[in-house]
Amino acid sequence: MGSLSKGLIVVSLLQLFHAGFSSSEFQQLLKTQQLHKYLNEAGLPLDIKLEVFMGLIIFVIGIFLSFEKLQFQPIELTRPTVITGEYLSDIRYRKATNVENLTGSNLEGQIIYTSNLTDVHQKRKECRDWMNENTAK
Amino acid sequence: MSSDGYSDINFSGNIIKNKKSLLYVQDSTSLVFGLGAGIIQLESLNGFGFFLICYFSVSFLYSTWICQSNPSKYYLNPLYEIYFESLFRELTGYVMAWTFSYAIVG
Repeated sequence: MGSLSKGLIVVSLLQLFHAGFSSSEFQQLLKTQQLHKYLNEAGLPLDIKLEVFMGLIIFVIGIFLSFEKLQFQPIELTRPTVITGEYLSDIRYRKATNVENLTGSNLEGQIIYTSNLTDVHQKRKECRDWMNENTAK
Repeated sequence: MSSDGYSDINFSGNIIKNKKSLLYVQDSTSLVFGLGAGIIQLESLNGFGFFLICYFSVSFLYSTWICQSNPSKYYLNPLYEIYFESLFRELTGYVMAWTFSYAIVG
């Protein structure tokens, strides 16, 4: 979320809070001054309504601006950052793996790069040493 | 579109990620629309009409802005998933915020 979207969301929430306070004061005024019969039909003042609508529009814009185009840093730092130009990830498998391929990440890495269960070279060395010791005797 | 069998395989990780993005937008906007409806003291059908207009407007904006007018690239069933799947989920959040702010302001 960028600073612009954060700023817009904060401004819109402040606007809504202010409009809510104004609306509440207006309702209190109606109750205390017994103005219901005159003002009920007219409803809320137009400026309060406009403030609410503007607050809602700014909030929606702020939420949408919080989306940024996807970008990925390759594992090898010499390669440039991969920018897809999209806000969402493609769901087709053959396209979804494009980013992994471009960044040098292997989707099947957990299967391919398993650690060896047995160190063959160490075992061979142990066997060779044992044989050397026993044949020397 | 190629005709081999692999073209229909989808990546579940991205399906879930895209769905979360959509829910983030719809959840947050529905709650704030509910607050707005309560502040301007909407009642009965006016409030529900306000919700429907705002919900479908946001969904349309999402499919054109975030999905770049190509939602089928990001969702299995775009029309249903973007416009209808979470309608009642958002309606409940909206009504909660609407009644809450209506009671506080009124």
